Amino acid sequence: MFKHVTESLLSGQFICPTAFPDAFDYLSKAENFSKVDAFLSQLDRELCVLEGEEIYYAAYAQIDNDNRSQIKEAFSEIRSQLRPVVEWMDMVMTAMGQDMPIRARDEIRMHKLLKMIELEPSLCEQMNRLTQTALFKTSKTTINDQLSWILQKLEQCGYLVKPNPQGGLYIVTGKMNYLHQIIAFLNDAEDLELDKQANRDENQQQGLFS
Amino acid sequence: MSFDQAQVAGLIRKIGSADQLLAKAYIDGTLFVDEKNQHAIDSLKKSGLLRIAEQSDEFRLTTDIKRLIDRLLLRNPRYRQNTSIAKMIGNIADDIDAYRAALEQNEQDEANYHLEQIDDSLYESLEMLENSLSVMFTAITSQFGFVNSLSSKIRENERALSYAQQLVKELSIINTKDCYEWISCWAAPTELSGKVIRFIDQYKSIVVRLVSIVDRMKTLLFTLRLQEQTANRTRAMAQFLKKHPEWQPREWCDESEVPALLKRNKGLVFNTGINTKKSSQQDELIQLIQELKRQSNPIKPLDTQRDAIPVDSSETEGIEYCSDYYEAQIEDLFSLAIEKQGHKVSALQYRQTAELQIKPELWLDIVFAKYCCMQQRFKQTLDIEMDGQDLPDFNGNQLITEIWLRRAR
Repeated sequence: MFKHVTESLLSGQFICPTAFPDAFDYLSKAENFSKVDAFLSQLDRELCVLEGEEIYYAAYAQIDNDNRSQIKEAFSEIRSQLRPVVEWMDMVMTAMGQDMPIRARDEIRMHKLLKMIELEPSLCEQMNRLTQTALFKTSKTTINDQLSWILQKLEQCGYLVKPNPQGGLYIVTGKMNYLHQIIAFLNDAEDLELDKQANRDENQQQGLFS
Repeated sequence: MSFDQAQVAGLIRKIGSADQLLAKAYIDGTLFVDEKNQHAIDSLKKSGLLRIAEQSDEFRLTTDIKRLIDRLLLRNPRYRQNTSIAKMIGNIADDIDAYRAALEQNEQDEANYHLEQIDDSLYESLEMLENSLSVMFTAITSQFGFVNSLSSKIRENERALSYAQQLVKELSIINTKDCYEWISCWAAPTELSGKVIRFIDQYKSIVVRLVSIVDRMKTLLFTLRLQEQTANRTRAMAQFLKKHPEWQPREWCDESEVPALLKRNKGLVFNTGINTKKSSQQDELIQLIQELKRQSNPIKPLDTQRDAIPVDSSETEGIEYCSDYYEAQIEDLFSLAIEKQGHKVSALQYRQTAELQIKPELWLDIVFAKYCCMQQRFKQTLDIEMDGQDLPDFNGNQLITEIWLRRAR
């Protein structure tokens, strides 16, 4: 298990109960955590736990000129995925009529989601828009094919796992929680005022219906 | 069989004989009188099992029987109970006074009656608290699973927390030290002191569990609020990204102090070579080579001699966000219709007032198309009516000459 865990961490994976249940159980034991952390420290890395979550990942302990390009590359990947993945989350929340965020362990049932999207022309339009973005780009035209493609892409990028390759059930992984934390970070660091915007929207919505 | 026993048996028989009617009343909420059930309903009403609802021909289960079924079938569990501890203590104190008086006058039957009342009251209050605690515990472990949305979960958690805190406050009225002192100074009979001591023991365990439930509820409420914040932030981020198509996060990795969250590396690719000198691996290596030789479609090696491709090095420029004038006008029209409750708003009238330089047919077309594209929840707030003429030959198709919008009731 040590080999599997360290290889997964070094290859940039997030160890969460959904995507790597055995590795997660292994790291949940304090002695294993220390063992893996000690091994990573020899490679100038450390074992991190996502703030307030039970999700493990490896990060550089120190930044120097040798590894800065590696970090930049990892952040570039997240930067390029931020826009399409956030829009996808917004679409799923609207389609399913849910006020819960999409987080690790959530289940996405393709057929249920497809049914809800097909009922709503604006969501179909949003699907078409999403499949024009670089991450989800495809020439597929039916909503069924487009949704299936998007879910496959999210699986490839590590945001979803598919427990049964033949089934239509996807489970959200810890990488989605990492993305939420990136959004929170950007909100604070770049003064995006997203929390104020959310409150304003809520008040406006209430105002419209009062 | 004593008279009392016969009375209880009669009531249970009545419940049994009206099983279908009572089950229907429990599941459907109400029963309606007709020729067939008139007699049975009258009899059940007389026995206190049914009560009249809003209409004289409509009947419901009485609260006692409904609660009894709820409790026995563990359905519709409720953690909120009428827990007025002071009232409960007052009732028990009255019963104890009556019990003491009966003992002093050596009226054994009456004393037994009061002792039974005390036992019932103590048991009932403990059972009520235990039940309340168990439902609250289930609510916490299932994250208030009896409601679906996050906002409902937060609301339920807040209500349950306020109830549990009030309960802790209520329970603090009982001073166990005073209870023990009271029993010893009065030299209460062992039947009574045994009951009171059992009550105090169980009460202490309830208070400890309740305090832990309050702590867990606070933690859960905090977690749910964090989730709510995350959901709202995701929505706001999606809106922000739509409004600012040019926006890109800053290159935070170029900063001298890289934020801890971004110190992640993209991931190593593990490529391992083969140690050809290791004799234990030679067999597998030979097999691999033979397999590669047999391949009908060998893997083409990477072409390292290919021509260079020029890279477009011109800098990307941000483009201004272009808002659509007519889309904004349609949004204004819809807002106007929502504001003017009870009044129909004419799309053509609006076009005239706003002096829109667009043909009326085209204007009506885009208003209708925009309405069709709205999300269902917004559509539900606006009713649309259309004037027009049916087109010949095509069943259901119309030539629209006017669109009226009105805020839905």
